[in-house]
Amino acid sequence: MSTPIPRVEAGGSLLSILDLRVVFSEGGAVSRLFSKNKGVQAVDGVSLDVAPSEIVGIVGESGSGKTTLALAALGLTQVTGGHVLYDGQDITRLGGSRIRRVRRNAVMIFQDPHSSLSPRMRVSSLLMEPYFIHKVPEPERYGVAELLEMVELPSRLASLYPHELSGGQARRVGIARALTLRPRLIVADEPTTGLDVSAASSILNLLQSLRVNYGTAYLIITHALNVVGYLADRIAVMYLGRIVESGPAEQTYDAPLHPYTQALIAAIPEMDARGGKRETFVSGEIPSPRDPPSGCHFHPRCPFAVQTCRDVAPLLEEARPDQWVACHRWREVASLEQA
Amino acid sequence: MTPGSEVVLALDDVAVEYESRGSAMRVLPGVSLELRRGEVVGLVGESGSGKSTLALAILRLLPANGRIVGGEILLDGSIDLARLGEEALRETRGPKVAMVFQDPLTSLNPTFKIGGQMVDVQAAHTPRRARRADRKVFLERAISLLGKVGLPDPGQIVRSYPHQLSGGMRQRVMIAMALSLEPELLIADEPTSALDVTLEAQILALLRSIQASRNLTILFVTHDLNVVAQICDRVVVMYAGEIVEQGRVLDVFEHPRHPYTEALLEAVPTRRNRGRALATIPGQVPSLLGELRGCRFADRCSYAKQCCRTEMPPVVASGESQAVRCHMRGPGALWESQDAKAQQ
Amino acid sequence: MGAGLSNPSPLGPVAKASRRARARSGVALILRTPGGLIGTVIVVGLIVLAIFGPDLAPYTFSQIDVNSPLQGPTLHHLLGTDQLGRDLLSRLIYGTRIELEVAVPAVATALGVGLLLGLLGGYLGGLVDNVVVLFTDTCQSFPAIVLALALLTVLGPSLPNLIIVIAVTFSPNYARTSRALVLSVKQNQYIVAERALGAGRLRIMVRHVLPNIVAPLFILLAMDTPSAITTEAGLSFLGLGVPPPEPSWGTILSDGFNSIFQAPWAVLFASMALGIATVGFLLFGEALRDMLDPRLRGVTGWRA
Repeated sequence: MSTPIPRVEAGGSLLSILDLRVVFSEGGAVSRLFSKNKGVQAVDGVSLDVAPSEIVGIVGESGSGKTTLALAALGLTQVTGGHVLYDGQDITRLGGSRIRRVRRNAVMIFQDPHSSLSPRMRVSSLLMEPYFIHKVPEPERYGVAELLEMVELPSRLASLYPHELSGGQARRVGIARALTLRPRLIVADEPTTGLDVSAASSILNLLQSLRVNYGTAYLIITHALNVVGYLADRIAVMYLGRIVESGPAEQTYDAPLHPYTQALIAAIPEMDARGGKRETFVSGEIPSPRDPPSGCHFHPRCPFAVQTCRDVAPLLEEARPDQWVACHRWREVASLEQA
Repeated sequence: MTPGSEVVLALDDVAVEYESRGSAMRVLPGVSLELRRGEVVGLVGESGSGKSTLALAILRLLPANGRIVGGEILLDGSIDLARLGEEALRETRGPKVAMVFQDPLTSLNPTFKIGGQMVDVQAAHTPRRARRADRKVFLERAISLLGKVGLPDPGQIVRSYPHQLSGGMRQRVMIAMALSLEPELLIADEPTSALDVTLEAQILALLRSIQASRNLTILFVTHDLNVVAQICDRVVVMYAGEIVEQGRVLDVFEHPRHPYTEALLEAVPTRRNRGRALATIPGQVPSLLGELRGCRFADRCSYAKQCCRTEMPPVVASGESQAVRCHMRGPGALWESQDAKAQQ
Repeated sequence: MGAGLSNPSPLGPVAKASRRARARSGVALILRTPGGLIGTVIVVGLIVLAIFGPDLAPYTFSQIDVNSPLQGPTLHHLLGTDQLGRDLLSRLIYGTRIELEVAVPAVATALGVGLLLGLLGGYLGGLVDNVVVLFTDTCQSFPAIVLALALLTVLGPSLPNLIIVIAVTFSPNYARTSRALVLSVKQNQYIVAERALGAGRLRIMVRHVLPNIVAPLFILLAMDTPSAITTEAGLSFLGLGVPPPEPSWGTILSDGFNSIFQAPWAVLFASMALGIATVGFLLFGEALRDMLDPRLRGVTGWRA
């Protein structure tokens, strides 16, 4: 039985990413002139929506550009092209005080819990700092004890320094920091990676309960499909800077259309394999983002690739209601799967 | 291949201590375990469970402040690895027991080419006289092995340096190196934890095929229960230095007999428990300083009774194939009779 | 709902106690090594001497006794006298105060200025950084003594000017070091995390970058003090330092040089003073560095 999801209002996305491009150029201006290398295309035209109180999961392996996407969406790294809209407002190249106002509402939880906490500040200072940054008056603030309780940490941790916390505790402090300003959107980068099973499960429960209690929307970045399968409403699968498939979580999981998504799902070691060992049918490794394959990035590893796939990059099309896929041959793939 | 009944490695009451600032921490109080030929055994536990310590202890690769303080590690029934001298130990590492680690980048020497390293490994285990002449042979063997582990263009690989290869390729090189001396036991310490999912699947498939073709015995250390389900025949669950449950993978995963195993299985997020809160295990792994009375999981166990905190539970047979360390299991224990009734 | 962490974590009280213990043991560590012990003793001794010495000295530094010039160590003058019959011991003791009076403020100012420049240049980058780098490179392209000489000639020798000049010649080093530290701290994810929370550049520089770079700079401070002392002594030796009759060690040296063959005592003891001070501060600085890295990395929280 699913827990009911409170929806603030239908329509009107909270976060809209439109054709976002992030290119990291290497070397100085001179080397750029002389080399034919255009730089690393970390994010190559990604469009994505997050509705209020929705949980969207972005799944990808290393080199997929998912972390860069998250950072770019919050204005924490350069944006080469495209737009990011928050609540209808274009925040793409905003700076200074205007982006600060947005930062009250759209916060980020980082992958490495320890390195994202300033090492010379105690937990209590770290928790109260957002209030000083945004000049939040006293009556509107959560107390330190209150915040720690929200993330299920004992209050005596308040006087400790980050390096004195365990990995799970540090991650919770990061979450507590994110909650101080009552954000409407939380971007979580690999929220459970590196944690033990038991620590990870309590983090996931926490994220789930925050959504239930406060209606927070999430953009979850992870390589763990099972986390997304458990938590997300919608999934987007990224490969080398592009979204190759997106759709409702359960639907995409049950009937993936893109060969890469299928490979990802097939590759997950499953406990319910019932002794039947799965065969993977994708070989090779992810190419370097510096030198992506032409056309469809996935074609060198794709068992269904044909000449068109080498020449032309496929665009996302709505294959089924609300399920989008970027593949020239998705119809054939689907029929082959059923065979 | 179905595992035979011959025991390749038998750990009998192995105890390991780490020394830290004058006090000794007994990480493994006394672990007993058997590996049969051709088996793939998964050693599962969270951080602090002692699984890596156990794996390293077998080949005496513990860090400087770690010591084996008790028990026997019998290889092939006769060689006690715990008490072997340095010379004999070196001869065992490689030809008899090989190890693959988590991070291939730090396990390979960055200043030598792959070919050179693989040749050196083989040369180190050959009598000095024969070494020079055999280098060509060693290189050819290396190339052939690299091909067998699924690397395209092995001839190019042997001429490359580790940093020129990708993570997945390096891990395959590690496996090839481990196999180059034809060991009978392979210990893999989290070999896929740092790899992407698709790569992990490939490496697991590779290990399965190698295991099948050579009847290799594998001890697979991991924190990922799903991986265990994918590749292992038997699973050993560790908690705070103790083995709390072991048995056939299917049996343990479908009918876990120890509260910790049960909680662990319930805590993994999957499609199936969407919308439901995951099980959590309250509390923390107990500190291993000083003596611990009773079951180490008692403080966090939702079924704990008084006897659990005072007496160390015995290992009893339970379920289809499992051995469990729990007061609640075993003939005459309360749960057993209830389960039996439920199954009727 | 999951219960989370209901049991007391073993980390809390243990961490606090260990933090205190590590601080205590860190201080003890400095004293435990022979180098650290000697260094600390010397530094503390010099400081005490500088503060209380002149009041306890047997003579004042300008007390002339024309009847007993250039004497060797005697009962009345434990280290002998200079060419004007002034007691060397008293002059050296007073000189300690002068040396520290010049060196410590000079190096501290250099630290302050250099830190500010390095912080601004390193964090803000761009044009500001280019200016800072230009400044440091220019200053460092001159040998320190030459630069100091040039500045002193323009400003005129006096105690305050001496402090300024030495500070100016030493600050590029601090600027470069702190800039490098800032650049490396900037890479850390907590800086991004602060930006993600909306923190402005000033707040980040002051609350998050600054505390994480000061530790190694203090070690540099300890190690640079003897250089400042030597520089001052050198300038005084050349006559551009503290004007007489104030007895900078360099002045004592320079005076003693004229009569080195008749009575080498001034040169000998002044050189010894310089040597002991240098060794003392260096040993102290090294012990400080060993203490901060890596043993007490936990306490200071500074991650390399």
